[in-house]
Amino acid sequence: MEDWIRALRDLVVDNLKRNRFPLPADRSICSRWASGLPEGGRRVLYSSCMYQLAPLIAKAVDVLQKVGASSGGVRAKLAAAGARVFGGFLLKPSDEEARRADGILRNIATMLSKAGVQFGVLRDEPYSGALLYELGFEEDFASYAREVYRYFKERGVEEVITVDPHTHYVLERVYPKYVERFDLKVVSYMDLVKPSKASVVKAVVHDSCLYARYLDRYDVYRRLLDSVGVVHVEDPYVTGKAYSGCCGGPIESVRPDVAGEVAKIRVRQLSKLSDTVITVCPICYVNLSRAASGLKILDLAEVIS
Amino acid sequence: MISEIDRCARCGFCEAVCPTYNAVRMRHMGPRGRLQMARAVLDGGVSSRYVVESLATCLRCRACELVCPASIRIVDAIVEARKRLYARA
Ligand code: SF4
Ligand code: SF4
Repeated sequence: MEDWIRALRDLVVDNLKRNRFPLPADRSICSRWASGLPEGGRRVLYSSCMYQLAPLIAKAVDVLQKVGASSGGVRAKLAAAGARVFGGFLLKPSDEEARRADGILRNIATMLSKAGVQFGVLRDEPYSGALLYELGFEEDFASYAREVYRYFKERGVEEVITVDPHTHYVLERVYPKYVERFDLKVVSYMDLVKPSKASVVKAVVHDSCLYARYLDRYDVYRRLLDSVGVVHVEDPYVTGKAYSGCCGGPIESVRPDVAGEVAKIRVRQLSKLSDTVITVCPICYVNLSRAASGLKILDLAEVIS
Repeated sequence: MISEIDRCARCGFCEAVCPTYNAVRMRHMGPRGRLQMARAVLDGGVSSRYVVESLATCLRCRACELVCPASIRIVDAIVEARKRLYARA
């Protein structure tokens, strides 16, 4: 299994070096949503390409497994070639996945503008490095984080608006540990928007572990839903701050079988409360969607506008 | 960190809320098992397939920490041990 994890690390590090994106993919998928928005400035809306990246993680694992890498370690040596097995092959989100990601980000941008928030975008924004940190390769992460920080500084950025919990967590809590004199202000779009309508009337919220238990945002998205009249069904053992279960996503690349089983259990719990689930993280969305049959899963930024 | 781990009373409350333990029902894939694996690594012990599997599959979801009566920083221990394990090879 350690070979497998190292193969993943090689793949991610190699691609970050070449492309500032963790997987072999055409980077243009990251910036389509931003067309027409003002470039740069002191405050930027930073997607870290997370909405486009999330569906690609499972695809990358599939490719690695097909070329003979195995998370059980049987033929894992082959995977040691991690970065090379893809050759010139590029991962691509499906048209529907790409459209969905772009739509979510555009809606966030529109909500911010309507709330009077001025911001710019960076069309060649680098990925935050979160995946590397989460895989456990902190030294690789640290040197990459310093590079990303320099990128922001060189462009005069002082404040970053995040759209997902993984990016928010590493920027706010992990970067300062590794980047000397880190002084970027990190805010979430959820702290700033003032939505006026919703596309559903009743749903259950699936919390992000990071938002609920690390970043103190448990009440923030609930308040947003309240403000547009969405009824969120609660049950302390399913949606309570302490008991809300993880989607399994963080180990999707390490043990997809266990991640899938975790998601199935989570979907079963949620489905008892509502047939509509609202997620606040692109990784949760992907992992739960794969296990959900007959359940409608929507991102918060697909519900409020 | 080892003294932190040694405060574990092995009560098992954490296992009841751990998503990976509930998915596979194997001790090394739950918090109290992971703590012992972490202890072995931090103490310089030999690694095995189970140690890697145990530490690499923690979701870092923190569900266990919120129910632990000994308030052990379970995720910090696991992450620290994992870092040590990968750096060693
Ligand atoms: S809940 Fe805390 S004290 Fe009890 S077994 Fe788990 S880690 Fe040990
Ligand atoms: S943080 Fe790790 S050990 Fe604790 S409940 Fe989550 S998956 Fe289990």
